[in-house]
Amino acid sequence: MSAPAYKFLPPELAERVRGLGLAVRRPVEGAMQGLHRSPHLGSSVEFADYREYAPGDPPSLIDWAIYARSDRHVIRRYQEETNLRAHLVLDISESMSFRQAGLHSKMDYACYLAAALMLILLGQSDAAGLTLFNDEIRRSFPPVGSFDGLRPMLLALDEIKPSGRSQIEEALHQTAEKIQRRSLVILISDLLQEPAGIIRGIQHLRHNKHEVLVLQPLDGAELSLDFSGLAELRELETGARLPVEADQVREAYANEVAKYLEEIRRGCLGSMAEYHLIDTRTPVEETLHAKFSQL
Amino acid sequence: MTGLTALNPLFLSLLPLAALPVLFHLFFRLKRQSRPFSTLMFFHRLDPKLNARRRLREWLILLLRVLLILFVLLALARPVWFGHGQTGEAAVVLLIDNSGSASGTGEGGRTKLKQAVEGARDIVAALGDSDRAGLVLLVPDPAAPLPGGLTQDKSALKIALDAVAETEGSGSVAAAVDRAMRMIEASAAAHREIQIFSDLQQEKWGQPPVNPPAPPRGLGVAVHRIATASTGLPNVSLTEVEMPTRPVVAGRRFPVQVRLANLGPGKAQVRLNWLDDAGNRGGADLSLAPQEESNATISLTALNPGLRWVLFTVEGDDFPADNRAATAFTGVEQQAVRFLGRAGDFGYLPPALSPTGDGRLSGLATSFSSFDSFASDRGEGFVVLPWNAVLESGAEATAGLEALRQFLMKGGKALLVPSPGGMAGGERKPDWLTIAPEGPQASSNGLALTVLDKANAIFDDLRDEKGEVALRNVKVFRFLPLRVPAQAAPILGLEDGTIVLASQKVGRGLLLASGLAFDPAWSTLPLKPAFVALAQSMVLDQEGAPGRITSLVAGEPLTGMPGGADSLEVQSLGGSPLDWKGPAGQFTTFPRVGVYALHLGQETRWVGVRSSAKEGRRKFITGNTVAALGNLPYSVDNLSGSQSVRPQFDRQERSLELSLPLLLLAFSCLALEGWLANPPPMKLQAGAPPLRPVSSP
Repeated sequence: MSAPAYKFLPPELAERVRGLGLAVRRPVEGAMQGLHRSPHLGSSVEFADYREYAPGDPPSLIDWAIYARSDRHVIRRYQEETNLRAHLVLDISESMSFRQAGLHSKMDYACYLAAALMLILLGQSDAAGLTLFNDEIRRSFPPVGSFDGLRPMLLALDEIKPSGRSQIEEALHQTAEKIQRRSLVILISDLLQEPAGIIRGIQHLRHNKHEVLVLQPLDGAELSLDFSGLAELRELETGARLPVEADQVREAYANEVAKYLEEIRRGCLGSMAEYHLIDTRTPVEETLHAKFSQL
Repeated sequence: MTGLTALNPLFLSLLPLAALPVLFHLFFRLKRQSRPFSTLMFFHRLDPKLNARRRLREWLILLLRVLLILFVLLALARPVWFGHGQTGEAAVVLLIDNSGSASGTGEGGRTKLKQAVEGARDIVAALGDSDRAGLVLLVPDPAAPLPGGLTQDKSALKIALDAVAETEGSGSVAAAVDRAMRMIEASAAAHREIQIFSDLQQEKWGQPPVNPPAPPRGLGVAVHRIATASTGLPNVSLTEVEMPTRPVVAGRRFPVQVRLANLGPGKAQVRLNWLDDAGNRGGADLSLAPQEESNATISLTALNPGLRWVLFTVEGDDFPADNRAATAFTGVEQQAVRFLGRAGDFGYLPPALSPTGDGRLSGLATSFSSFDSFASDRGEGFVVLPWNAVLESGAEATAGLEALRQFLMKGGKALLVPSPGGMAGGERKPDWLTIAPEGPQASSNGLALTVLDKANAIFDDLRDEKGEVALRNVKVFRFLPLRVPAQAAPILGLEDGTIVLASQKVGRGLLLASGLAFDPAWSTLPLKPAFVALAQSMVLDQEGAPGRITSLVAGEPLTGMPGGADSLEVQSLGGSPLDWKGPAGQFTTFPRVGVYALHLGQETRWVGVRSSAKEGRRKFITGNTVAALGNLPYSVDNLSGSQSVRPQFDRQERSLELSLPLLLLAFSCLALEGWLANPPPMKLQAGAPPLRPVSSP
């Protein structure tokens, strides 16, 4: 691969992700033949099942060997293999700019992930698109299957400046309505909103037969408070202020975060969406290897 | 005393320090930095009212810190709530206004002093076993023995109160309060008060103190005002008695000026009575218009030589405590004046001393004899002789001069005068005579006679209101200038400085030497009215002179007496009795009218005391401001005729020390503040087990 040195896809990262793969657990629809199962059963090499012959079926599909043994007309069906259309939905709200304990801000970390995933997808002959949102969808790139087509999306990642308040549920609803064919939707967001709305958005995607992968990058300081004493916290998206006695709320805060993450995890599980919590203190390459090297 | 009082009021001035936490709060609030954070969602999920609670806690902490400082400062100020709580040990000084005004009638028909004493008795009766009390009189009264300082002996206090009697003097409020405070300061009791019983006469209690005393800690002053009954009758004060300033010759009548003032609003018809030491009495009816002052001239006679006194009393007015005056004077025997020479040698001097020669009018009996006979008869009396007799005889051995020297050495008095006809003698004089005349001189226009020794007693009858000697422009035409050595004293001179009258002591006697003949050809002095007074003053015996008789207003401190431990004996001669003996430094004053002899060692002085005229002024403080008490913490209440001060005193004596409760409040604030400022970590929701802490997935 001869990709230019984009900010979020440096040659070292591109080299490190070589060989990683991304698969879906459910069938998706693709325009070309690829690694992933297609919902369409047809003339492929992978046997699927039998069904009774119905008038109108091509007679050439009748399995005559079965007929010879059982005197039944059945048609042998094969699983069609197709390529993957993946949509990366990236949260660019102000809260993504937070960085306290992580190696990068959540935004940068998410961009690294997105660039790497797009590279991985194209490497396995899949198509990758990109959608940026905060309170609504700001930019959208349709899936492309070539490295040349990836270029505008990588440049778009370079230009991201986190801003605004995020409306994750709304963005997911819009995405669900926008994508016509069954695809893989990769949501990269800190998901710092009430879990119920987020889960509703994911369920909408799932209802539309999309495979959903949720990646939630969080800073270590968000997972557990890393300061002591009294501090006045300023919320990045709203500017709201709250004096907090860290030592007083530390334990309860950590417990509340754990409870929230559990809600997200259970919500994703219930919606048949794959969920990964990512600590930005972990190098991007390690995260990618840990999450996607099984394929 | 009721209400709150701080024993250490200095700390009250530090109360603004209680605002420090507010300042610190604002300061640190400015300094507090904000931290950007991705979301506050978890905190709101944790406790939606977290911010409100924290703000409330912050304000509570601030309030508690302010209260903490406030309570500590208040506790250090040692506030005492008088009139509440328990009765503790008390130190009470009863200050009774026994000045002349207190002898007036109060409401209920009793004198104000009686009401005051009864009020004081109530308080003594209400004292607890551990309480201590003392008694202070506004007008110190040597006749009323008081316990020394504070005592727990109630019976002693009651006896002392029984001895308190009306006076005719004015006391010093500042001095009385000072005495009371010195008593109080000697006590360690937390509850300390001065109970004042007074009619609050404006004259005494309305004047602010010159040096306001600093009130001792915990002192409360309760002023019980005794109202004055209004009778509508006029009041006449005896303001002054003007006695002759020189000894009075026994048997001779002399005038006395008595000044009276009608202080009331109505016309006064009074009688001025007098009573002398011999039992002679007399009187005069007087009529005084409202606010009028009047002089009454009383003619008295000193029947016998020695110290004499007269008691004057005004009768017929409403208020008695300003109606009396006692005055003393010295009576001397009729004196003989011996002129050693012919009558013509002495000019106008013989008739000036005794117009009739027998002493009926002036108390001076004149006689004439020769200088030579002086040695043989050696008679008593004042001797007048011409310069010629001394200078002509010349020789020391002559019997006349020797007799004169011995006469002077034994205490005799003599006067040397030039003869109006001129000097015929020489310059020779005896050695003991240090004053010498020079040659006669004359001035056609006359030289003014001037006084060289203004303090000399011979001028006492010639002084005006300002004390200046008035010679009324005497011109001198002829004179003998006198050479006066240092040991002699010049008395009269001329405008050019020439000395014309001087004196020298000879032994115990006194020799007066004149350079003037008392003749109109020599000067205009014999033609002046002052001449008679001056001549008689030179002759009369100065023993027992008025300078040794002091005139005082009752209640005034006696000045000019040596203090210390010298034994002083006060003997009452007339008027109100007072017999006192003790260290001179302990004697205070004469509270009543009378004539007293003061014996201090070998010295004897006499004091004539008159009542204080200002005690009759009927202006009393009606409000609650008593200027004489300065910045002392006091309260004023009215003591009516039948009312007892005991319930009020019982209430006042109760006190509640608030320091301990305030300290407890401060500690409570401290504990509460500590709890609020260091809250325990927030509890997890009940029933919710702590989740596994989130870490790197």
